[in-house]
Amino acid sequence: MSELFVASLAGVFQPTNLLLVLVGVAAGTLVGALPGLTATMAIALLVPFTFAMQPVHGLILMGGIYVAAIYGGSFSAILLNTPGTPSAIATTFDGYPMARRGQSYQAIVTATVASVLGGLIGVLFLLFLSPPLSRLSLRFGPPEFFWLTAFGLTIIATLSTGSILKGLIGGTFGLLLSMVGIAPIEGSVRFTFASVSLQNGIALIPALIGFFCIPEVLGMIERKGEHYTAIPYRRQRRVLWRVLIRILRRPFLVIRSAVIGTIVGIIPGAGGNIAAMVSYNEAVRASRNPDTFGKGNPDGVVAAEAANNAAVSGSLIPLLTLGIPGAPPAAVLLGALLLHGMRPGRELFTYHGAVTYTFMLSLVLANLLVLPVGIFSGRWVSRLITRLPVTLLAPMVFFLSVIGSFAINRNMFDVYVMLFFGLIGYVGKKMGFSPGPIVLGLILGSICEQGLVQSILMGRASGSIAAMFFTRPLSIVLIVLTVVSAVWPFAAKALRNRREGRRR
Amino acid sequence: MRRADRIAALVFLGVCVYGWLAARAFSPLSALFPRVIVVILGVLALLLFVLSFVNPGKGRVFVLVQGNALPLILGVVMMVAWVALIGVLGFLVTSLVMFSLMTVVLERRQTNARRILVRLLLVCAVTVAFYFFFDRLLLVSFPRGLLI
Amino acid sequence: MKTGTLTVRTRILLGFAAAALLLAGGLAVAAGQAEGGAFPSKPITYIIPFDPGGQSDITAQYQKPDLEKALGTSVVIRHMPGAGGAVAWANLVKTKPDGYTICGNNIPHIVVQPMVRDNAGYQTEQLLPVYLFQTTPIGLAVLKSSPYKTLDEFVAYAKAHPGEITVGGSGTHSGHHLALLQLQYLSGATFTYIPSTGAAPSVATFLGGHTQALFANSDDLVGHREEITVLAIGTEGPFAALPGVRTFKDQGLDMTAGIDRGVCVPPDTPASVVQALEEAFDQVTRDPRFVARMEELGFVMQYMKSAEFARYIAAKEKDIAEALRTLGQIQ
Repeated sequence: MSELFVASLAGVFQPTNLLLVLVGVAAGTLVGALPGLTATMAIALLVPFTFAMQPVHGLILMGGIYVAAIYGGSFSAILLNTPGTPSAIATTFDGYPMARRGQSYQAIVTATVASVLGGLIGVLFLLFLSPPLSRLSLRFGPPEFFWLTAFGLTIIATLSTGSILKGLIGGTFGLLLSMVGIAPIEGSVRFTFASVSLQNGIALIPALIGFFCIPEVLGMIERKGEHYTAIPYRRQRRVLWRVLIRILRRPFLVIRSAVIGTIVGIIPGAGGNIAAMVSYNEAVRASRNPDTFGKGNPDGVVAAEAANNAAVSGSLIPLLTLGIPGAPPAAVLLGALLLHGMRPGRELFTYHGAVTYTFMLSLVLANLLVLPVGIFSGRWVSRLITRLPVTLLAPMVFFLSVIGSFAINRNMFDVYVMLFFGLIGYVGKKMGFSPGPIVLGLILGSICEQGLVQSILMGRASGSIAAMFFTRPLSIVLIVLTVVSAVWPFAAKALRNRREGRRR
Repeated sequence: MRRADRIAALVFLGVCVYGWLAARAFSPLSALFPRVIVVILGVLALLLFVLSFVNPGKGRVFVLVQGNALPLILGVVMMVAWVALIGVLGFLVTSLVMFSLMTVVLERRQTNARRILVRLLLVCAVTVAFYFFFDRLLLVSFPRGLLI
Repeated sequence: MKTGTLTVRTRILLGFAAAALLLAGGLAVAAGQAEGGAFPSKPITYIIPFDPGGQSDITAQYQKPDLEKALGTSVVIRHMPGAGGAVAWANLVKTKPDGYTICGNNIPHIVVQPMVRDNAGYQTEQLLPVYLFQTTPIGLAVLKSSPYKTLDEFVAYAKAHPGEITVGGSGTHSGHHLALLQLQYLSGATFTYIPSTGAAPSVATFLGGHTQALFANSDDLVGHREEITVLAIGTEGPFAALPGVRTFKDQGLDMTAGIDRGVCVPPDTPASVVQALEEAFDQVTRDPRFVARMEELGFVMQYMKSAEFARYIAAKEKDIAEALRTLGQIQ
């Protein structure tokens, strides 16, 4: 393998390949930043073009786009509270409050550095630990998926700004929303109100845009009397330097986030969105000042962005070794590989080894290039957005929302969905229901239901449903994690109260 | 916030009732998860309802709109009109018209004609640019109504 | 609202709106005039009812360059996944039948969905078949570590322990599900079907040992042949890509299993247009390089033009309806 490695190292620095990485990163950042455009879409658009290219060139380009698009989602997450891609949902939690305080550029730089570091750590896993990690990904069966979503749902407590009860209600409502459409098992048509368009379910991205973005647009209009511009801008010197020092002084945050991101990434069906939220949750739990999260703590941005970029590499691990994509963009890459006659598996690392290793090393380059591209574009984007008056910004963001919701499936129905949830989300927010838990329920719902019902079927077949849920080793680990995570907010609060009581 | 909480709780309870009734038409395994979630939501909504009576002093005051409600109402109306008109007038035209309308209507400061014209030109440029980017480059093909 | 500036504003706004309407009107007229002329005179949209990266997508990507040459115009591939393909088909029946929108169609999907769903959004007959170009045979596999080495052993155990063996597959009422139902009906054995939403998840669940057997598409079977034993394949005769694997028919079960893929157009598309399209697809499908690539991927070629394709679908509809009724899946 080492000769292959060295040869690929040399190959990666060829001018064509370097150029392709740069183009991929630039294009990917743009795609990611625009809400409604996703990495999956961008890669899918490229596939016919890569047909004519050599496999290695096509892969490098798509890899660059993938990495940068997941990063680029942080731009609109920070500036407009709208995740540019679902992976950036967790970035909104602290990124947008930072922007509201005038620290949008700092937030973007933090997201950039975190993405680069997280992504690099993820690629290290991809390069050196693929075989054991792909075996781990296979161990996830229906019961494990169920418990994983149960664990995911305990994050609701962290995500609810305010009443945990309302957060739970929101999350459960999100789970209910995920059931609209055709049931995964036995195929009943559910909650579609006789609309054929709803048979496909509620598309995630229009719902995201609706819940996260529209209330902010309406909020901008509402607050219009106070400020001329929607988002303040406070100058600060030597931002990059300060961010680097801050992050590198506490390396454990980035490392832990990247590890979480990679592991969640290898799980088929769980990608950057869930990875970032789990990582965010862990950052809150590990922090000494958990109450500062959700109000503009840069550590929240670090946790989210490091994880989602690491998840990119995570999703590629089962893809390259087993042909099982860990996330939707990886599925498109699979198609591209098959188009070029490259079958995932041992063959990919031996017969096509040169291409594969060059591709993986190009991911290192892509992550590194995110730094200059991100800093450069982040500076003028944040300056641009913060200079725009509300009367221009609000309609423009709405325009982008309409385009973004439409572009997913080229279906006007999604635009209606976006507007509907936007209005509901605005009222809900006023009543104390934050969008994070709802969207989390929407994302996790189908995975949870499939895991539950498939496990019940498996349990019936093997004689004991209870045994199926509770006696598998990986399940047990997840159950423990779930219980700890569920109890934690209450236990930590009790501990803190006791500590404060003792101090008085 | 108490009244708002109560209304919210009742709305969710209504959703639960609908969900439970609708689930009768599903096949057994398709109805399982909906039933479970509806029950959980119902319990939580009930809890919210009860708690709204129990803790009177807690929580913020519920205010739907801070300050002048007119811009907000206009904003919502224009958003709905925008989306509704796309099928009628076509995407580009609707966007141009509604974007300009929103920008101008929401402006409350004293401005002269020249500034407004500059603003509208900017709106035009942005709209057309994004339209072509998505339509030609990304091949999204927006809906056409009577016009484009 | 201010008064003085309002009038100025309103005037500018109205003038602007008028200009926009005029401009757009002009553009629309110009665009309209670009049509006309022999078919095809503008780009054709080829809709894939499934996610990018899947089999339908890969095949379409291969067809695209040859198709563009055969038709003399560019072909734009669009993905419209959802509801097992129903979103795309429901959309197709509302599209203008001018031949500039074509859509992949899959059997048994387009046959089964209107049968089992109250409102699938389309009727099978509405999708006008143009050309059937491939079949993906479906096969039954177990892991190499499994105790069953032949189909007989497998079925025998299942008969003795009804419902104990879990079999994975993609989707409810899909090709995989139908294959399992047929297997149960013909053999008398009972299994527990564990559907996943998609071929890749079902393969992953199977490879991880969570299901004991799997109905899978031929290309997945070929791709993982090192780790699995294929007990039977659903072709009529021997399948070249999996030598040594016997068919269901060969082992005493009179069934075939596969997913057929072709293209269709909206109802009432003119016959001349259909003919142009079927000729183009015929040309593409008979190209030796295309055939070689498809067979390498594990597909079986088909060469059915519109009329024959329509008859094929009608026959399948009858068979499937009977099978589903017998198995109690529908009334």
